[in-house]
Amino acid sequence: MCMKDVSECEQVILPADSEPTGNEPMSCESIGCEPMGCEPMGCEPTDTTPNKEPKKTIGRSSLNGFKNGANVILGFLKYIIPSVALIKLLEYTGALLIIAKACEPLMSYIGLPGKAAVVLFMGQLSLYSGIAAISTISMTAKQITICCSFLGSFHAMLLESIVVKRTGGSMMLVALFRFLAALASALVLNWIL
Amino acid sequence: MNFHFDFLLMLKDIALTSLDVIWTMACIVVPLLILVEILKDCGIMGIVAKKAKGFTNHLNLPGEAAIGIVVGVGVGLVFGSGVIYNLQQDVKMNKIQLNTLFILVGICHAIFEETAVYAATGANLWGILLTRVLFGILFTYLYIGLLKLMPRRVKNA
Repeated sequence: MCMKDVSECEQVILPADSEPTGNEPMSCESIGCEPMGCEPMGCEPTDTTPNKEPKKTIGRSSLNGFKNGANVILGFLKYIIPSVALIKLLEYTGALLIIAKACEPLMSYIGLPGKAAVVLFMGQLSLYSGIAAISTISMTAKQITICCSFLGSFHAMLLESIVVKRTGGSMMLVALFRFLAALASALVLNWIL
Repeated sequence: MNFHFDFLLMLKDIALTSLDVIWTMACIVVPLLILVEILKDCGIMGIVAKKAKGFTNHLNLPGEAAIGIVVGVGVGLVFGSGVIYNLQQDVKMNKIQLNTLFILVGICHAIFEETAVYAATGANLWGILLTRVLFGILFTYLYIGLLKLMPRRVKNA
């Protein structure tokens, strides 16, 4: 929609800017405004839908995208810093090694080291806690891929289960299917890679 | 176990690692979201949703679910289930339709953003993308297939 509009605008504006022939019913220069002000005028006849929002251009879209990105990154902060702090605390006190040893037999089925149990657990708080945990714990590329794939299908279940329940779905069934999908993708990746 | 660890060294480590993680993510997420926003304003969602309608009919979902699936699978921002919660306010769906949607969008949502964030941590991009999409569709069909084995529950819903 936007791309089409912009290209059509240029077709309208460019001849008027480069060589004013006089065929245009009302060019920008005649009413004494800047060429940029021409854009909404030239576009209005082609825009059939009644739209009260400001005209969408690539510049405005990328500004909005940048704002979204900045918001997302700021939102990450409150997950990332506590998660990194918790894992570093576990690591420095030596508790991480104990957890790793306890979870080693279970995690080895899907080709992950025992330490990854902490990552999968953190991922249940929020996806970005899990990501922070992955970056904090050193693993091989294959292990990271398996970990990410598992978390991708099965993450933030505390929060999501509440949403599922409130919307009217069955909480246990959705959680079960997502867990099975996560397990299956981890097994397949462990087998392929 | 040694409890007399260097607290200051740990704080420094925490700060540096956090900054590193955030910077890596910002480098990936911000350009990607700009691209997504441009594509969204170009009306690409509507075009894809039209194509997805055949798929939703196939899954016995209402036609309006197509846009929910496309938005959820494409750019679901915070969490995938939120998109369906919003959709339920507009179109009332029964429990089976909701569960189908939750399984599909729950397993593979926000595939552009989340895959990019995962790839930033050093994971295999195609491995993650393909397994999520594949298993999302596979388990949705598994759920529908299981329901066909139990016709009684379909009537009750």
